[in-house]
Amino acid sequence: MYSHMKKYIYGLSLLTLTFSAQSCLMEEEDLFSESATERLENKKVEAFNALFDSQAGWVMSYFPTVEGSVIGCPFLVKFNRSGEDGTALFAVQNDSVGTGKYMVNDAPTPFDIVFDNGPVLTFNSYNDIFHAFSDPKETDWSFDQGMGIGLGGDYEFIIIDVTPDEVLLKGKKRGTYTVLRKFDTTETGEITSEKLGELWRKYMTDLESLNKQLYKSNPAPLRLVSANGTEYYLYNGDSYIFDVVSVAENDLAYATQSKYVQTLDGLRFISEPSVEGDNGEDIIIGGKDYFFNEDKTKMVCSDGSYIDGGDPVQVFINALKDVNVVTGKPANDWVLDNNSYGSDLKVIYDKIAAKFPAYKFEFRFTANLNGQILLLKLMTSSSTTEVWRVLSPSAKDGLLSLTAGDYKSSNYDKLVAGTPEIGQFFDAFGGKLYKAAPAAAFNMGTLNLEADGNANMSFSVINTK
Amino acid sequence: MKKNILAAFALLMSLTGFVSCSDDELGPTIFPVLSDELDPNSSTYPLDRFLRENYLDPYNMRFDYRMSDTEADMNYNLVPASYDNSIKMAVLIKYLWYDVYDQVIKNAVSSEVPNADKFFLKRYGPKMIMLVGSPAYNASTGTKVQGLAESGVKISLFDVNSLDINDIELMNENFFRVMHHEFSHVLNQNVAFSDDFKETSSGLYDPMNWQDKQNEVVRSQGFITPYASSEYSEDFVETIAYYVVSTDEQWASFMDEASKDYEEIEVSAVRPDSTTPSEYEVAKSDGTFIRIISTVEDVQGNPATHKILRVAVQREGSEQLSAPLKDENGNLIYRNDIDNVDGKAIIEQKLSEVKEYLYSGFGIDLDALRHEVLSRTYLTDDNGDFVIDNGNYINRLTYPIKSDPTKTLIDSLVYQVEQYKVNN
Repeated sequence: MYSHMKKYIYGLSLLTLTFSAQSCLMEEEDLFSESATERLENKKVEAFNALFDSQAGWVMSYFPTVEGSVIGCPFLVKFNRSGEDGTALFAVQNDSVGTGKYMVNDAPTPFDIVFDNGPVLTFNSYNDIFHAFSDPKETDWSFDQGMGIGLGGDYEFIIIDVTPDEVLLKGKKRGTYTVLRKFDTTETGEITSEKLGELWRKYMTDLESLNKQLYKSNPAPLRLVSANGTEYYLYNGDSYIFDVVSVAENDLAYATQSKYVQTLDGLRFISEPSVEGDNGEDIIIGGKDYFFNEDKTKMVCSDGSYIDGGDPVQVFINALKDVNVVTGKPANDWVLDNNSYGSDLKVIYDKIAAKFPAYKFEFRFTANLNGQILLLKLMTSSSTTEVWRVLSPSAKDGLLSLTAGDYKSSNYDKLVAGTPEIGQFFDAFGGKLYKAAPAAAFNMGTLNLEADGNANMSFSVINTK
Repeated sequence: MKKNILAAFALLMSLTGFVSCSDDELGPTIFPVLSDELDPNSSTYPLDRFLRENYLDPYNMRFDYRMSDTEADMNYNLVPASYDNSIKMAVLIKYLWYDVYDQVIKNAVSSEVPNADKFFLKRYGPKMIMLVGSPAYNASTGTKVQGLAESGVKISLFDVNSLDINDIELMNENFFRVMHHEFSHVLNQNVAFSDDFKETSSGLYDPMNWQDKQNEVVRSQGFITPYASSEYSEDFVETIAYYVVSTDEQWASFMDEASKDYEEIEVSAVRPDSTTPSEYEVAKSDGTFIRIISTVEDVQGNPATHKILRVAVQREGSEQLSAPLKDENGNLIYRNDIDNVDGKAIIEQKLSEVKEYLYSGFGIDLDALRHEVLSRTYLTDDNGDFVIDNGNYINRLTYPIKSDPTKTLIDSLVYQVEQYKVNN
């Protein structure tokens, strides 16, 4: 046993000798040209340079947390070099200070990039705009996440990726992704603080208009079409948290909620949700960016999916078919714009107007317990007369079909007998196919309709929601 | 034998081989070479320079106002202190804390007080002060942390963004009482206090429910604050901290509270009929009422019952709302048989013990320290007496300074930082 042991030690010594000699002969492969610390330092310098490089600042799509109902927020932020570190100036939209107004810091506040498992962008000096999202003293109960959490946002971010135009950040505590995109401007040369104020004010005003167009004045949900063609409605965008539901299912009870941040470039979903499609498939929208296409009719993702305003024909029909079972009234209906008529309708309309100079006219696509109808209201200052007949809408090959039905109001025949032009007006719509398009991209508040093959038979309808 | 020699040779060679491998020339450090020079172009240069010249150089103390959550408890949700309030805290901590100790120690050393140590602050002073903008909330207990002392080295001050120098009481409560509290912990970690103090209120400490107790009630039991009633180490430092920032009148008021006993009773807030007062109205008007502690509401959200705190007095009958008895001078007759503890005597005993501890351990006269603190906080006349206006002490920080009446004391303190602003 002892002899075996000695042999073993002897052999081991020789083996060790061999390897140790061998190891001296090998050159270590130089995987990195710099030390880890140098690489970190370089990353820091690279990130600083990128942040300082944008004279007009950055658009920040910030998501405080996936938890609760705390919404994401678009900030404008300008980084200024200050010796070895820098200062940051934030601006945010603020409805409370009026239309197109925004809040901006009284003065820039210090920030830094530090090393902590990688380069970390830290807003380590209190900023009354940005830190409102992380201050535990904030106790807006509608956003309550529990005592001492406030709105639950991060102010320290691991720098994930830096390019000259984009910086991707990950919240250190919450792990939510935030992206900075270079403020898009055609300005060249030095941007003074006055000029910066101008640019930012315009951005905020434009963003408010865009939010109005996309969400606040849009009676219909946006539509997301996945790369494989499955369609989803994005409901309740004006709450900054979409209720996402497949078009096939179209039941808000099964909606997935997804926070988003809208900027002038497009929108970004918070980095978590996947959404169940109608065939049980899941699509992942979390963390995806949808950028406006050139004519700003769609927001397009790099995976081939896109967001638009949806199918205007379907929107027109859905609005009328979403009827209250008790009152028979639709959730929203469509008023014809009397100034929008093409020549076919205008000729008739003018004759009616000439016969009733003391009246106001309102033609309205709506619904009652008999179905979808075209309603005419003849109004004076003291009375309103209503007359209607059924005019059922349906979709056919992407076009809107309007079909006249038998039902009509009891006063219809009498009124038409006295004023045949009213009957001609009602008759003009039925039995035709119409092309439909929103007056403004994404927004189904006003639709322009034109009979297929007859540009003279055209009109606009305004949603009353 | 030969085999042994061969084996030894092989081992030697293998060792040599290892040694030879480590014979590479050392390159430059892999860490960035940092300069300790401050950059005058930095936006924070004025404060950084002030901190270096007033804390780092004289006391080897790092004053961290730009928060890093690696220095904080990640379980809390915190935000950094604002730069402006960091400046104010930096100058105030020097003025109301470091300079105070410096002065008291200097006097003690020159008077050759035993154990007075001219290196006191260098030796025992914190090595790091960290400012945090927000409080640290404990959701489970509904409390918030105002300060922390860690390992006798670091003091964290919270809620700096709420600093309001116009409100001395709040400023002391949030910061300077906290500083004295936490620093006393640091001293305790270096020199233990006597077992006698620990025994003084033994059996009365309540680490679980202290936060639900009223100031008056715990004072009647011999604790200066509810937090002091949580455990003896907190009791010790709270006694120091409260004494050192309280005026004579405030301390006398605490002792007056401590000399009485208290009752918590439930009363109906509802009137039996429109002309008969509610129990609450009766209790509130009999001269013993202090405050409502809690309220139970009915389904409409109206108060149904209140739990109230009142001074315990002798009453005409056994009913809780019987009228209070009065002596021949018309004064209430206080009861002292509720907790059977002479709270005032016990707090005064504890105060005596903490004074002895500071004096014998560190040569610090607590009364001298207190006078230095108060005379820097409140306005004094040429004789060093406090100026009283309508019964109130005058905030010295917001009062104009003699040398330039257009500036207040806080202006002149802040200027100690602003003087370093570089005009670009």
